[in-house]
This record gives sequence, C-alpha cells and structure tokens, in this order.
Amino acid sequence: MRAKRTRRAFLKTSGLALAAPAIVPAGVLGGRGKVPPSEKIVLGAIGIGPRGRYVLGHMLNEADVQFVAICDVQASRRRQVKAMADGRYGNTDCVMYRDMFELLERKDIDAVLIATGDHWHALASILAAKAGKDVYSEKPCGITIGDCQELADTMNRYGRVFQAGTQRRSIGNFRFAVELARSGKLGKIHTVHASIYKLRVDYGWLPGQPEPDKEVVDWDRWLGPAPWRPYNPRYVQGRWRGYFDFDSGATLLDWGAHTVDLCQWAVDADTTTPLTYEPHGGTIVAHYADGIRLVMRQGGFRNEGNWLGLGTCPVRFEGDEGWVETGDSGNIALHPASLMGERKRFLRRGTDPAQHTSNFFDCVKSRALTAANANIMRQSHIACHAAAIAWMLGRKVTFDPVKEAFVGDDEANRMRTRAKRAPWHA
Amino acid sequence: MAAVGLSILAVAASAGIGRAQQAATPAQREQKHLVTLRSDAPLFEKARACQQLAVVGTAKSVPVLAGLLGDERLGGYARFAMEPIDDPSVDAAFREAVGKLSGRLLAGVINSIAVRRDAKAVAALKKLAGKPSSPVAAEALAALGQIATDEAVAALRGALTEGAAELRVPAADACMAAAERLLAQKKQKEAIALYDAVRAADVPGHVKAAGAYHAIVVRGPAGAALLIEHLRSGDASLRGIALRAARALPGREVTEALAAEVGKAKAGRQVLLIQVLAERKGPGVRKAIAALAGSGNAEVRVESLKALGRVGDASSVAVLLRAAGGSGEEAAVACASLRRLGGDGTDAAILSGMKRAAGGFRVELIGVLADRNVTAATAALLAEAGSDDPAVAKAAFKALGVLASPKEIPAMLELLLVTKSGPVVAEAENAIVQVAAAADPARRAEAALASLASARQPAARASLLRVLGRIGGAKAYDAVAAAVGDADAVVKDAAVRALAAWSDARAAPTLLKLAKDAGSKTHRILALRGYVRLLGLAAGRGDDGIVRKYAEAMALADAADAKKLVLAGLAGVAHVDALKLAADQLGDRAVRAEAASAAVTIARAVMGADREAARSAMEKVIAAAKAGRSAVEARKILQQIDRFADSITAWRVAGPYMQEGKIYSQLFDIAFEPEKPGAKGVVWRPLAAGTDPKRPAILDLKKALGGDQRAAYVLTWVHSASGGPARLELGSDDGVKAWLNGQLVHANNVARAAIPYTDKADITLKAGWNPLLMKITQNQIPWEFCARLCARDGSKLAGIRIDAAHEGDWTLPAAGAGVKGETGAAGGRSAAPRGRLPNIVFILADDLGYGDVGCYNPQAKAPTPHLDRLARQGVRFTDAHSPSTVCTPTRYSILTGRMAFRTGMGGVFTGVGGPCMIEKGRLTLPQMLREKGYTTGGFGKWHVGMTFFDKQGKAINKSGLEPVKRVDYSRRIPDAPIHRGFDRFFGTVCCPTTDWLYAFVDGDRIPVPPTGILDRTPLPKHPYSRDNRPGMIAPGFDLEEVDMVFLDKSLKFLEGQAKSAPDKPFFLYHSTQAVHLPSFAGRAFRGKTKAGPHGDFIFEFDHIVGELMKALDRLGFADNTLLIVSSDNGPEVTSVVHMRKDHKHDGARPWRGVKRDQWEGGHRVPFIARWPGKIKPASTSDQTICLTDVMATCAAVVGAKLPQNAAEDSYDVLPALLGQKADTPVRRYTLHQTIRLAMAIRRGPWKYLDHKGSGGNNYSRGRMKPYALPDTAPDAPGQLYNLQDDPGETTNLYYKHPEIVKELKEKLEQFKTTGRSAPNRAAGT
Repeated sequence: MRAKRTRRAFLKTSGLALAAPAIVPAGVLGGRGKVPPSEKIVLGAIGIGPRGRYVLGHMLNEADVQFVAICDVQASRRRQVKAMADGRYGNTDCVMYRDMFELLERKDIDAVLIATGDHWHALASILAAKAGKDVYSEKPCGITIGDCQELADTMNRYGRVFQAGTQRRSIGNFRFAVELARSGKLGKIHTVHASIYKLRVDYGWLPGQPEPDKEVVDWDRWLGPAPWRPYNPRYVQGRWRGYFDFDSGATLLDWGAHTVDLCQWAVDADTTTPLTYEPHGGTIVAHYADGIRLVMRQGGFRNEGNWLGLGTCPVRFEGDEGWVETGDSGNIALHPASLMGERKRFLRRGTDPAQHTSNFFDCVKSRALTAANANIMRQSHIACHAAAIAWMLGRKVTFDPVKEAFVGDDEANRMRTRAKRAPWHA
Repeated sequence: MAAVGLSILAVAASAGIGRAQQAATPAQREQKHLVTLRSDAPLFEKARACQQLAVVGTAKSVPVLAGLLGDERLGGYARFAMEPIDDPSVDAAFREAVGKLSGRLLAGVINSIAVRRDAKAVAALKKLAGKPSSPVAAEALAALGQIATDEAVAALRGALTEGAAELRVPAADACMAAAERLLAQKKQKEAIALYDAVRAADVPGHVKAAGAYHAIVVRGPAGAALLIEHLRSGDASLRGIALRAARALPGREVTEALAAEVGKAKAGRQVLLIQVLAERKGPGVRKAIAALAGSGNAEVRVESLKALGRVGDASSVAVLLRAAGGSGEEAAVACASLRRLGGDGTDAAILSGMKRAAGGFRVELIGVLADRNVTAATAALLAEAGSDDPAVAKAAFKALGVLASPKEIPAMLELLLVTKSGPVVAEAENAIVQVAAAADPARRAEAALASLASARQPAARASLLRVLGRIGGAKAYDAVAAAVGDADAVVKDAAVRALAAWSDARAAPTLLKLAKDAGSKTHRILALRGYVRLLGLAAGRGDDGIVRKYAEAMALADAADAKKLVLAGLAGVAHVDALKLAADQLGDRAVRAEAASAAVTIARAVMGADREAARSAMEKVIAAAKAGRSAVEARKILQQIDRFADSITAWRVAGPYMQEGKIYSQLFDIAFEPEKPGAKGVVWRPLAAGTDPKRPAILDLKKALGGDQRAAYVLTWVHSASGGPARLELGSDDGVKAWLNGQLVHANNVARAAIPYTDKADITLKAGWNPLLMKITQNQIPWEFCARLCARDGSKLAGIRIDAAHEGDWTLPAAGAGVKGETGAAGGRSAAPRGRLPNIVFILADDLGYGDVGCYNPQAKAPTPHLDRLARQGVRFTDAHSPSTVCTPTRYSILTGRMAFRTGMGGVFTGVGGPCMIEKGRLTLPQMLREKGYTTGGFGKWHVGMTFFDKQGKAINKSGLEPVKRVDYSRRIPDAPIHRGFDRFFGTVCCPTTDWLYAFVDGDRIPVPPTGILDRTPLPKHPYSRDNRPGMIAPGFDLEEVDMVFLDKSLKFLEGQAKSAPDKPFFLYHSTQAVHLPSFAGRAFRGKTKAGPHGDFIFEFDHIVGELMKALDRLGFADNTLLIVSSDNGPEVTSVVHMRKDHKHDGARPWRGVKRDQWEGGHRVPFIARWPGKIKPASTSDQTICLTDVMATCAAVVGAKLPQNAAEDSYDVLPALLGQKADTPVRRYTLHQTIRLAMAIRRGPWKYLDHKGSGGNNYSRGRMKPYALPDTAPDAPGQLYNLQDDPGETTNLYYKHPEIVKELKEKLEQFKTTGRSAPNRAAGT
C-alpha cells in the first residue's frame, strides 16, 4: 500500500506547479489561502447534484484549488453551484455552461469533477481526458464492463490522473481493516464480505411529458449515450436510480463499487477479479483463483444479512486467525481484540471525501497514481458487473480476468457492453 | 408497502431478468421479440424487444432490426440489438446503411461499425473521413482507429500529418487507438512509429504529451533516454507526462538513469524526482536520496529525509539523526522517518544515538524508541528514568509505560519513590499503572502493596496509594480504604481521592460513609462525587434500589454543584420513581435547570410505560422552567402524549407466517395457526413499542420480523371498566384483519403505507378484559401498523387499560360457536394463580456421578461446598434418574418430558449433523413456560441436534470433520433452541470440547465460524485429557474456558432479567460441559483440589452452581426461584477408572456400573432442588423420580395444562419436592434406556433389564474388565434385581421371580406401544 502522504506538508515544501494554467482569471488574484494563483489547480465541474455539491464543497476547501466553471444540463443546478462557489470565493467568477465541450475547451482548466448521473460518468470522463483534463469521477465510473474498459484505456492513452470516487479507500477505519487483512495478522484470508444494497432492475419508462426548453433542461444531453426515452421530470430530479438504462449492474455498484473494491484491496487483488460468481438469492458468492471467497451480501442498514451493524457499506475480512468488520460509522469490530491497538474509533464517516480529494490534487501535481486510479477502478467495477450479470441471469458464471470475458456464456458476454446512442462514442 | 404505481410502463424485475425468462428457450424468446417488432406494439415494447434481442438475437433477427436502422426513435435501439450479434449479416447491414443514412443515424451506424471493427468498411470510412466538411468525419476516423488494418493506419497517418486542421485531434486519437490495437498484436515497432507521429504532429500540447508518454513507455528500458529528455523539458505537459512515465517504465537501468538525473536536476524537479525514486526503490536509490539530504535547498533536504523513511535502512540512521538533532521542519520530518525506518540494526542504532544525544533531542529519541516498540531499550530507559533532567526522566517513564513488562515494576517503583519532580512522579505513576495492566489480575497490585508496606515518607505513601487506586482490585482496595484513616493528612487525602476515582462498585459503601461524615468538606464532596459516579455505573446494570440510592445521595448533597451531579446521574435512570425524584428538585432555584433537564430525559424514556407520570412531571417542569429549553422539550412531550395517548403501543407478536408462492394478498385469506379456532402452540413475543419519535404510534414489524410476502399476528388485551360501544381505528402496511373477543370486526386486504388512522370499525367492548387479535400482511419494504380505541364519535374513551401481557384465552371460537363468554376471556383457562410465578433455574451437569458430590458421598475427594449448601437449603433426592445413560437422549427427555427412544434415534450427536431431535411443533419445557409468560434462556451445551446447510443449501445430516468443512455459516440454523421454545440461546451444538465443531452458537447462527483444525498441542495432557476429536475450531474458542463463557452468559441473562423485566418470571436452563471428558478445568481452577484434573473440574462445576446461586441472591430472585441441579447420566469410564486408582475417589459410589451402563451407576444421578418457603430445607427424599418429570412438575408449578400429545413420560413429582405424601410413590414405573436403545423398567425395588450385560460398556476386556461381576444367571435373556435387598445389582433374580419379570416385561411393552408412560391427561382435567 502506498504510504499516506500529507498534502499540506507537500504543498508547503514543493513550491511547484506542473500544470501551468495559461490564463489566470481576474478573480483568482483575490482568492483565499496563501498559494499564488499561478500555482493553483484550476477546477471545473460537470453534472453536479447533491452528492456533487458535497464533494465539491471539500474541493473548495483546498487552498491551492480554484474552481472556475460549472457545466450542467439543468439551469437550476448550474445556478446553485455558481451561488455556492461565488459565495465561497466572494466574487462572481464562476462561469456556467450547458454544453460540456465549452467547459472542456477552456485551456486554463486542469481538472474536472464529474458527478453526473451514472450513465454519463464514463463518457464525460473520457471526453475530459481527451481534452487534457485530470478527472475525479463519482462512482460507479461506468455502467457496463465495456464502459470501465474504455475509461481506463483512455486514461492510460492520455496519461491523465484519474480518481474514482470510491473515497473509502482513503478513510481511516477502512484502511485500518484492509491493512490488517494485508498484514497477515488475521492469518490467511479465506473469505471477504462486501455489503451490497438490495438488487433491482427496472426496465420501464415513466410516462412521457413535454420536453422543457433546453436552456432549462437539456433532455437530449441529459440522456447522452443512454437509449432514447420520453422526458419525465422525475429522472432529472435525481429519480433515475434503478432504471436499467441509467443505472449500473442491478444497482449492485451503488455500494459494491466501494465494498467490493475494499475487498479486492484487502486480498491484494487490485490487478485481477474473481473467476466465478454464483447468486444465492440476494447474496452473490465469488471465488478468486486462489480459492478466496468474496461474498456480496445485502444489508448494513439494520443488520440484515447478519452484519454487525457498524454503519452503511460494511465490509468484513476473515482469515484463519481472526477477522475484522467495519462500516461507515467508523467503528471497528475485530478478533482477536488485541489487534485493535490504541485506536478504538475513527471519527471520519465513510461518505466523507476530504482525504480522497486531497489525494487526487496531490497526484495532479506529482503525476503519481491515485489511491483509486483507473486500473484499480477497472478491476473492482468489473467484478461488480460480473456479479450483477450472474444475478440477472440467475446462474453461476465464470469470468476470465485476463481476457475480461465470460467463459462459455454467450448471453453473459453480450451483457458486457451496450450500444451508445448516436452521436456519442468513446 | 405497495409498489407506487408511478411507472406505468414499468417492468420491474426484482429477481433478475433470467428468472422470468427461464421458462422459454433463447430461440423462443427471440421469436417472441420479433413478433413484437413486426406488430403495431407501442414504442416502449418494441424498444424493450430490441434490448432483449441484444442478448438472445441471432442472424434471424437481423433483417427486421436492419429495417429499423433509419427509424428516428428505434434506430438506436436496433443498433443496441445488432452490435452484440455475432454474425456477418450484421456488418453487411451496417455497411449498407452507411450509404442510405445521414446525420445522427449515420453517425450511429459508423460507431457500430467501429465497435464491430469491420475491416470491410475501411474503404467507405476513408471516404467519409477524407472530407473535412463531412459531419461524420470524426466518427469515421475513430472507426478507422478501431479497425487498424494497414490500410486504415495509413489513412490515419495521412489525416494526422496532411489532413484538415480541425480533424487532427480526432486523427491523433484514432492513431493512438490504432497503436493500442497494434500493440495487442505485438507490433511494437509500428505502434512506436504511430506514437512518434503523434508527438511530432501539429496538435495541442496534451495530445503530443500523450504520444510522448507512450513513445517512452512502449520502448521499454530503451526509452530511458527519451524519458530523461522529457523530464528536462520546458513544457509543463511534457514534464508531467515524463513524471508519470518515470513511474510506469520498469527496469534497473531506468532507475539508475533517474538516480543519476536526480543529482543533476534543478531543485524543484529534484523534489518530484525524489518522490518517483522513493516509489521505485531499487539499487542506488537510497544512496542518491541520502546524498540529497545535504542539498543546499531546504525543500530538497526535507523531501530527501522524508523519502529515506521509506527506502532507508540502518545505514540511514546517521543522516537522519543528524537532521533530527537540528530544528524546524527538517528535524520533524527526520524524526518521522526515524519512526518508520525499517531494516536490521536500525533499533540498535537509534538506541545508541539516544544515549549520545543531549537534552531535548534525547527526549525526542526516547519517544522514537517507544513508538518503534523497542522493548530491548527497557534497561537503558530505566537508567534514563533516574536522570536528573526531569524532561528526560519523564520521557523515559512515558516510554517505559509502553515498553516495560510487569517484572520491571519493582524497579520502576524504586525510582518513583526517590523522584522529587512533580511532573516526573505523575508520569512514573502513569507508567506503573500502565505496565501493571498487563500483569496477571490477581498479582497486579503485589509490588505496589509491598512498597507501601515498607514506605515511610508520606509523599511516597501518597504516591503508592494513587498507583494502587488506579490499578484497582480487592487487595488494592483494602490497602487504600485502610489509609483513609491515616493520621497523616497527605496520605489520607491521597487515599480519599483514590477511592473517589475507584473504578468499580466496591468503593460505594465507603464513599457513601465518607460523604456523610468525613472531617473535611472537600473530602465529603469528593466522596459524594465518586459515589454518584459509581451509581451511574450501577444504573446501567439494573440495580433495583438505584432510585433510593440517588435519593440518599441527593439528601447528602448540600451544595448546588453536588446536587447537579446527582441529577446528571439520575437522568440516566429510566424509572418513574427517578422521574418523581427529579421533579421534586424543581423547587430548588439553584438546580432547577438541571432538574428540569433530567426530568425531560427520564420522561422521554418512560412516557411509553407510564403516560400519566410523564404528563404530571412535564406539567411541573413547564410551571417551574417557564420559557427555558426544558420547558420547550416538556411541551413537546406533552404534545406527543396528547397526540398518541390513545394509541395502543403494547402488543405481543407471533410470526412471521408465509407460504411458498403466495403473496401478501393471498396470505390475507390463509388462516395460520393464531386464527385457527382454539389455536395451539402460538409463540407470542413482546413487540417493541414505536421508536421513531416522529411516529410513536407506529409499530414496526419489519424490525421485529423482517422480510417480504408474509403475515404476522399481534395480540393485546383491552380492559374496559364498564364496557360499551367504541371505535377501533387502524392504519396498516399492508392488509389488516382484526378480531375482538374472538369475533372478526374489521378486514381490509390492501397494499399501502401505514397512515394513522385510515380504517375505522365500530366495536362493542365487554366490561373486563377483551382480547384484541390482529393480522397484518406484508407486501414489501416497510411493514407497520398502528391502532387506537376511541368513542364512536372519535372522542376520547374513558376507563380503558391496555396490557399486552395479560393472561387469558384469546383464541378464536370454532365456526358457529359464537363469541365466548365473559368468564372464558377474563378468567382464563389455566388454574394458575395470577400472582407472581416463581422463576425456574435448571442446572444440568454433564457426566457428574452420584458419588462425585460431597452430600451424596462422604468419601468424595473434590470439595463441592456449594452443592452441599444447596442440599442444606433444599431437598436432596437419593433415587433420581436420568432417563438415559448418555447425553443426547437425556437432554431430549428433559426438554420434552418424553423418552427419547420413542423418536427411534439411537446414538448421540457429535458434529453438525441434524436435524434437531425435538420435532417441530412438539411442546417443550421452555415453550410451555413461555406461553405462561416466562422469559426462557438456554445457555451451554445443547446436544439435541441442529441443522446446518452446505453452500448448495443442502441440510447436513452427518457427523465428522468433512461435514463441518462443508457448512455454509452464512445460513441460519432453522431448528436452533430459539425455535424450540427458548427466547435466547448461547452455547454449543454438541459437547464443546470433544466434538467436531469447536464454535459457539448464538441464537440461530454461529457468529464466529470455525476457520482451522483444532491444534491439540497447547492443551493440557494428563490421563483425563483424551477425547478431543480433530474437528474445526473458531478463532478465539478456548477449550479450557467454555464453562466460564457459559456462566457469563447465564449471569448476563439473570442481570438482564433483573434490569429489564424484574416482574416477569424466567426460566434458565444452564447446561455445562463440566464434568465431561476431557477434564479441562478452567485456568482458575487448575490445581485447586487434591483430586487431580478431574477433581478440579468437579470443583469448577460446584463453583458455577455457587456463582448462579450468588447471582440469584444478589439480584433478589432467590426467594422466588425454584432451583434444580442434576446430571445427565453417570460418571465417565475414564474418570472413574483413574480417579479410583489415583485418588481413591469413586464417582459411581455406591452403585454398580458407570455412564452407558443400565446398572444404577449409569443413570442414578444427584438431584437437588431448592425453593425457599416451599421446599423444606435440609430434607431428603427417597422417592423414585426421573428427569423426564421436570416438565410436568414445572407445569404444576406454573399451572400450565399439558396436552395429551406432550410430555408423555413426565410425572408431576411436585408433591415429592414439597415433601408431601412421602409414602405414596409419585411415579409407579420408571423407564431406562441406553445409547443403543436397550430398555429397562423399574417398579419400587424391582428393576428389570430387558437385555443381557451392562447395555453399554464392555466388561469382558479392557479397562472395565477388573470391575466385571460374575453372571449369576448366564442363560437368562434379561436381568431382574431387587434394589432394596441388593443395591449393588449382584444377583440376577430372572429365574427366581418369573412373575415379576412377566409383569414388568408386559408393562414395558405396553409403555412402548401406547406411546406414553405418564397418566392420560383427559381434556378438561
């Protein structure tokens, strides 16, 4: 595991900016903090709802980051973000865009935050990378296996810095649990458990309504690469979850993108995926090549699925000499108790992205790989998708992690990708 | 809740698309979708058909789909279907469409061609890409990049170098995509050429940089030169990409080139390169980085020192020490690196550095040693702890606190007593306390007590008292408490303060006394504070008199701040009396705010239980606190009480009930047991009142029962003073049926959310108790309901009381029988008194012999003081029997009152094999008591079987290691004790220390599953230690301490009862592993007797009995508890053989035979019962009884009526317990059985064994041979003994008394065939 680096110490001492912005907006000179404007990372954001504003709020706290532009297909959301940024900076400089290409064409912008609906994450990230931007994208970063492959390939093609919004990789209690598993102190790890939220797929359409003016809601852009369907305001208000065309893997990645990712990390499987996936009701059991079991089971809210009730998104790692379980509350349960050491409680909750966004900006400067880089995201997202496909098919599937293809299962293989609506392509 | 009908066209699949479609073959499914597409179905259905054809479509679908490619709405869906179909006709169709379509539709088709990499399309694509004016030129270029044939690549290179300016960026992207294809085909050279072309092209910087990145990386180690060149570039994009490449490019020579470069680079780049090198590690890195620690640039030095922590070793210590001895950020970073630095010899180097360092730096390095956990530094640190420099001494003590072991405590104490500096003394005390915590609890205080005995100086004595106070424990307490009376003021003060901070309840009485009469006011206040704090701790453990104690403390508190303290503690006591006490303080202006706040907190906790008390207290708070914050809260509570005062929140619940394939609306009409006339065996559990403060009326069934598509029943009793018309108002999620006094009063089969109070039903209440039964069905997600009673006009209904725990007949009448009479409902059908029923505790030993217990055998060698005391307080039976000669059948019989041979199962359980021997639906002892309102807890060994499943969900019915390995521990046990009448269970499946599974069961799961094979090597080895099967063991499962774990669980159960339900009777079944083989007495008992390991184990069992007795006393239960101790069969062969030989102790004395034998030694067991005020103390009974009788006897105790089909071999022996009718046998015949189901029968002195020999052990060879007796009737097929004349069963009277043989044999047959040996229980008697 990479050592934890303190961003503040780095900033104080490096005195360097790699991505030199060509233009410095006038308002920047009056910005906060002590970092000279010429050394700031200039940030834009694409598709910002409630979660996006939460993450952006943390990014605005960074003294060496200057947020300058918001793109959203909904006027109300554009205005909300502008008000938030301008309020924070005490100026009126945040520029609003409906068309993301206008934002991406700006040469001064170094990095973008992407927090659109799930079906846009991969394509927006890809377009940003091709425009030379570093990318922080909320998870799930791609709603199909194909999306995740294209995204990782593009980040590699352009050598961009990418951080998947799986912030639990940067949060103390989860890191503690993963380190325990990786240290051998639990003995040989034989089973890891990832919580998932209740699986569901909705193939339906809401009733059609007249499309609003595209300056208010640009429905065509909102749909983007997803198949066409009639407009209904509920979708753009955030009620798109669970619909096959907009969501990922039977919603398995809602939590699985975090928890399966942590399990992959715990068993040192960041460069591969499990081979077999078998659904048992709402639980999916996967096996790695070395026999380690990955159990994706539901619950965590109210101790369903026998979780110990340590908060949402719990994970549990079991070895032949001990086990550890933790979740978003920051609390940790483990055996033997002596492994706890002095730290009894981690105060940061699992949803808090502060450390994760800091790690992203550190890497924007150093060009090092981020904590949840595109390669890590690719493997753990693919594992989730493979599991979801097994569940949707209602049968065991076998996956070849090298070819990234199912073995002897044509239907499963055909579910790896979906055609993008024209004119969108990767 | 009902699925909300918003998505009109929704096809929600909660079980995955596969399930719904499994019925049809893919071909049939394809056909169905094609029919849809050819029909005039709505757009949605056609779109869905296309999406499904993406998975099942074949060439057959292509013509239909191709026909849709030009469709404005469905064109995209047609591509969705076609892209994954593996057939050349798809490509042909796309190529054909290129010529026909335009705009977005054309772009889409080109994108599909790109996805499919159709090489035949290159010519067409080239044409489209060549025209700068073409709206699809960029798409065509991208497609060429995906196809990447030679022809396509040539076209792309042309577009990149000579094409239109606005297409260069897409051309560059396509070139790189093509290069990736070429790399996949191992065409490195061609790929490099393309990347070189991109970095040379006239494109924006970040695109060139992308080309450069791969131009470096794809070249491999040969790319090093290009890498260095880019690292030196003036262009930020290129420099950034080089930093990335410096991480991606492998190879020793690359590392070396970077190590060489780092020395030459400019300062700013050096910093970034140091980071890269620290990630790469490898040869030369350490040296190159160490060299930069001496850089002229401060930032570089810092980065170098930081990196050394990651890549350095012992050789880096000198450099780091030098920097660490400096100041500022460099020193801080160097110290951090010293803390994390790896490598052999590093600790030693830092230690010697510490010894050389001076002043503040030495302090810092002592801290480094502590953080690095250098235990080898202990001796050196003891020397430093004696330093004249207080800062050094303090740091050394702090480090010793982490590093020292208990054997260093005396040395640390010695130093403490000569230390003068205050801060050092404090640190030294801390360190000693910290180290003592690691010592054996019994000896923690030893060294400090020894020092105290010899210390004379008051300051030293005070210091030691502070240390002892924090170490805690009985001995320390005695010393500190004694010092309270010390003549020296300093010593006295230290003692009082140590007591005031005491960590357990031990100090409470002394503190209370000090609070009353200590000479110093300060001490009185300190003591009161300490006392109140200890009360707070006790409050959490359910101390009955806690409110009284708070009241006492309140009376002692003369100052306002002391009162506030008491109030703060009182706020945590959820009791009506506490509420009154808090409200009483409202008159005192000085503490009014605190009193109000405490009252509000308590009221919130008790308002559900006692609304009126809460209301009256809140009215007082409002009057006293007026506008304060607490008044606001109090008003809220009043509002809540007003709003929900009429809601019924006390319910008991049964269920969930479900049926395969039936959904909630069908379940509504299925009559499950509770709604069957005269329902039997329904298990009612209390339902938690609503916990959502915003919706207190709402009861949450989801939380209680969970799941979807099921039904539950809830029951409560309504007492009406006068009876008369009323209205029942309901809200439910989802459907609801309600019966009042057995009559259906409301039914509504719906799916909805629970909204108070949507349903209304007019009802008529009877005067007295009215049972209200409701059924609530569940569709999905939330599962809730609410109910209230009001007058017919909606106004408040007077004279109503609700009691969910009321006893009475709530069952529905048979059809046509009409509503039951008032007496039936109010009087109940049981003869049990409505008074307080006694608690029942049954402690079952394992393999404890008649001769193992002192009060049964004066020659017993292991002391059993508690059992002997119990016998003095109650009755001791001399002719009590286990129903069987081995564990499993006996346990079955105790729990069911039925002989186990009737199940047909011989043998015993030894692993994870099930199913539970107790049949589902059979009335059990705990279930019977539960129906009488008892809380039932089972702790310890179960041994009657539980079902486990393998990963495929198949039940495991075998014993042995392999089945344990197969268990899927994520699955719940369906037939655990909690499914057989116990509210709670914690224990083991079989024998915890001998059988294949070494793990605990909690409820219906194994929370910590086994992970490895039992390692027997660390276990004790002695003649009694055999018998552990090489099974699977859970982490942390300690074979030697299982009985202490069981004891802890039972004690917690008792404490929980005392705290949460002191008025509810309970049944505790405590089943020990003691004294079964292997004789692993707990660590605390080892060597405690002179009778060897097995003697120690017997002593441990006696201790367990003693602890449970103490708990009953302590919690105030003893006087109303029937306590029984017995054993499951006679003593084990191994222990008897060795104990006879080694210790002259005979566990079977005075009987013939041991465990497994049908002779008395195999089943005549100790049986002691105590019930203060009912059972005569120190009595004995020679009545013949059997453990099957526990059930019918308990039924008599609680007034339960046993049905005919339960407890078939159980006699009510209560008269014998109570010493009544001593001359009449309480049971005329008694049956015996062995593990192989050999039978015997007893009447008075006569005992007939329906077999030859022992029925168990083989006496013809081996260890038992010395104990064989001559066969006095070798030809007889059975054995007849007269126990009165021949208690040793030496003479077989088979031929001498054929008439008795005949009588007993016939009786035995009769008992076998009629299915019972207990008297018939005619209905109504």
